[in-house]
Amino acid sequence: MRMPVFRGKRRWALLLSTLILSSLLFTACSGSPPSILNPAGPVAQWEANLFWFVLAVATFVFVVVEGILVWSIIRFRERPGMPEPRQIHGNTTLEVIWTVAPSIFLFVVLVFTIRTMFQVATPPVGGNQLEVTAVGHQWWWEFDYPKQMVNIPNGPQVQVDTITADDLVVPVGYTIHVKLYSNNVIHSFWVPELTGKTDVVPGHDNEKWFIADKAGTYRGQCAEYCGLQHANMVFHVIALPPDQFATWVSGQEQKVANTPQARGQALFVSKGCSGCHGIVGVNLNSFDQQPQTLLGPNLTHFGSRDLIAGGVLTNTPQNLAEWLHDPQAVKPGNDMPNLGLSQAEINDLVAYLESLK
Amino acid sequence: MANEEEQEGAQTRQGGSPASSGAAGGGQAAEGRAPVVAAATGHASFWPVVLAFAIAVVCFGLVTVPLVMALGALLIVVAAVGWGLERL
Amino acid sequence: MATRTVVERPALVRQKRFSETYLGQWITTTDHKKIGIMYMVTAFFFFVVGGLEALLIRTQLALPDGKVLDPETYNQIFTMHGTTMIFLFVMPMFTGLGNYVVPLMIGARDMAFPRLNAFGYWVVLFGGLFLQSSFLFGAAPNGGWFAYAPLTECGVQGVNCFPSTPAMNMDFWALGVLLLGVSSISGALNFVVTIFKLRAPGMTINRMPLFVWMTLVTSFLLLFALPSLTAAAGLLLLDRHLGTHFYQAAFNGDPVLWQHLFWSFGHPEVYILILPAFGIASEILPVFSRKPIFGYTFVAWSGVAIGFLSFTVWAHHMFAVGLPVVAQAFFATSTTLIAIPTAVKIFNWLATIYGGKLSFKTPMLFALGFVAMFLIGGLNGVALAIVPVDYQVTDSYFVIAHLHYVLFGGAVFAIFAAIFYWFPKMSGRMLNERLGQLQFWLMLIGVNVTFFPMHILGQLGMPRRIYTYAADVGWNELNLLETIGAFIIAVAVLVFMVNFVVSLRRGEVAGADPWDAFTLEWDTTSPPEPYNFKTLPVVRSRRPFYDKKNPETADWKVATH
Repeated sequence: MRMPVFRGKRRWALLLSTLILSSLLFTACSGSPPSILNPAGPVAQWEANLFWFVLAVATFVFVVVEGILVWSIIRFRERPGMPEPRQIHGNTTLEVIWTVAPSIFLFVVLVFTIRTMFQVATPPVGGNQLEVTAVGHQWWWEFDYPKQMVNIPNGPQVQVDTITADDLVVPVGYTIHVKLYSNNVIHSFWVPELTGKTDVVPGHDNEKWFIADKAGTYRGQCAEYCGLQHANMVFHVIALPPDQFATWVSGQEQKVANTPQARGQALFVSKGCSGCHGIVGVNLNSFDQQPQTLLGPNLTHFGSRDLIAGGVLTNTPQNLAEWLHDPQAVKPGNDMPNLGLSQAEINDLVAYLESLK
Repeated sequence: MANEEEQEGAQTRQGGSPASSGAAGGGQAAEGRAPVVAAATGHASFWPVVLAFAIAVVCFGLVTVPLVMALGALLIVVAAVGWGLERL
Repeated sequence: MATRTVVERPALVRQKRFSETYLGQWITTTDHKKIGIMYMVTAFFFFVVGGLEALLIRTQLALPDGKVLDPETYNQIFTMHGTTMIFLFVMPMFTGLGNYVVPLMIGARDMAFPRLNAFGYWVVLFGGLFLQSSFLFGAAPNGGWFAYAPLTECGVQGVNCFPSTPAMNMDFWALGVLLLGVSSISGALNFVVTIFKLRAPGMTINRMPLFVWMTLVTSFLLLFALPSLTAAAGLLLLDRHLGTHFYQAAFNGDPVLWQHLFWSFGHPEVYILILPAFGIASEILPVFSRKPIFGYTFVAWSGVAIGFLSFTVWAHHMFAVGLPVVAQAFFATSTTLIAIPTAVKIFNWLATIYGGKLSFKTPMLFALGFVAMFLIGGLNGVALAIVPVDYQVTDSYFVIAHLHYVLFGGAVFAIFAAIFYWFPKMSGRMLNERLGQLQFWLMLIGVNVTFFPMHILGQLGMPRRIYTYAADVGWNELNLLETIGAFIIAVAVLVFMVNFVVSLRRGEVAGADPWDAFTLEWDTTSPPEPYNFKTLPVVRSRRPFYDKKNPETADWKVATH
């Protein structure tokens, strides 16, 4: 048999590490991805800490074990005149050592794991809290804020009672209790920079909590395959300083008055949009009165949101026009039919909806 | 370097071993003589492929029409009986 | 390599029976060697099918807002990729390999139940064709390979989700896996009986090759795990067609029941997919290091331990489902426990090559590559066992990285090691060494370029099973890199296919023992005669053929076992 072509097996270890390192260079070249290692709240922070720890350990083990592998490959490669090796069948002492040592180490890791699990599962008691229910639809997120009083530090109490879609607006520093509800399929609520995921399971009362330590917009996405448009079930958690949150709340509570964009409002009703979408002040009296028969997102303050239709588009007048022109082309299979609107009708509706701040 | 000639006469194990079950009997090396090749090959049978096909037909019938399912079920019975009664 | 039965009778002129024609021989055979070959060839065909599906996936994801596949097609393709690779490639490939090699390794003439053996193969072929025929109906399964309810029941009475009218897709899936389960169970039963009852005299359980050990454990896993899948898929079919409500919350059923039932199968399943690979590495590394496996007993029994423990860890696939924390802690513990015997094996393999005389023929390259890549898969598996980390990275590309390192870097590398190792025995010819080396390096590079960046994408928040992603999230470059890697793997597979075809015709003649190996299958011709061995093999240690070739330094003379 001929000798193999490649010699110096060290080469593949170099190749491997080059590839690994070079792929790291590619991270965050485009956009700013929602990284679990960029925590903006305590839950994500604990999870990230464990991740760094695992990464360190795994890297160490990888280097040592692969190192032994590569070294052995080089050191014990067949050379001319090499004698037959000693036929060693085993060594019980060694075996016991390398069974017991990893066991001990792994159990130490397990202790940290379980401790953090209980931390994550236990929401802080007292302090400022906000309740919201995240409803998973196919394929968008609805956020129901049940009627509750919220204290604003150095400010008045505000009453929150609203429904939004795609944007979950929360005050910075508050413990946000999220109830997870679905009446269709399993979804999963995941905001990498704030918290690990919890599934939204029909028939189950799953709950989770998180705190946003700093203001910002955090990307979330459904993380359990839920059908055709699972890929387009994005949402934003928008953390505002408490006083700005209070402003947002009072904006939500204002009924939508008769706006100059009256034509658009008339179209909202006449074209049948009100059959699936609710706007408080138009076809709903209040947020409490959101019947299950309304299949689409509540649009009451649509103009102040930054996402359309599960995040498949950002909320700009142009994008909204594209959506209204043919929703099925933008997000095939979603629940909104193509209404066959004329360009003039689209323009009016866009003007109206974007005015709903 | 397994060489048949070397084997013969060397290890003279007694016959009647478990290694001969499952295939047609006989054909073992007794006292180092060459075996009777013919008897040592397994018995060919078409019932396995027929039964497998029948079960697949039933599945196919479950996604199409019940008639196909019924035919498949019938074929399963035929194949099972044939397999059971086959003389090896 | 046709073997003709020579009939010692006076000349009798008659028509050839169907079972004596070339085609007939294959269709009616009950010979474990022919059946093994059919299994392996069929499995490889499905590997190519699954691989093409992977290339479609990667092409769609190469760029943001991909328009190569519409979402419905994409969802069917990723579902079929997983289902095909697991049920129609890895499982039949290992069954075929075991079928061919195990009886030879234990000195038997055939498997215990030859017709059952053939039956198991034909069910794979027809079942595989049935599953793939769903494409012809435009209704390939689209619920993911683990088919979570209630998504798989949408449109059925009272289940309020899309699609709103019931479609056939998941019926193909449920029936397909039930059918294939029948094959697996018959094969497993056959292996257990064969291994327990048909070993040559002198080959105690404690002397049988490690590949045989691992096949035995795998077979027990199949026998005990498949019933869960049968129950799960059966209940799914009942819900879909006979008006039951097992998984439907609106009727007091529970979607999580599906997950428990499925993963009670699904977890042992992944060990079914890897234990034979452990066995293969444990055969090849010693031969190409010229010394015995280090710590045979530990390696064998760690396999058994993994087998038992694999039934205690299933809910680690469900950490994000919302189970009580105490329950999660139990599964975190059991998962940590199962990491230990796996680590032990890796150390034993290292100790095997240590102090050896290593030759780097293609089987050895793939076996070493297996150890190196499986280690990575094991390490990211430990990361997933750390539950709070799992909360972040489960259902993301991090898991896809993990599963592909263990399944491709692990099982597939071991499969290629096995093919290069045993092809000479099966065909009488050697596969081309240069092409083998080329394939190995392309595959090693391809696997790492494709799957390593997935760790990073998962950590950057990319969920799994999404048919596209927006251009401004920050996932573009890594996705493109992964697609390039996938095509490198494709080239490697092409190299293999060329190698196979060319070597079958014009490969170097192998002889009975081209590798100077240790186990009984090498102590007969290449390919073996239908009856395998002319005389009963003599077994006095774990390396009976080594002993025969080296009578002065035979294991039974020198070693304590």
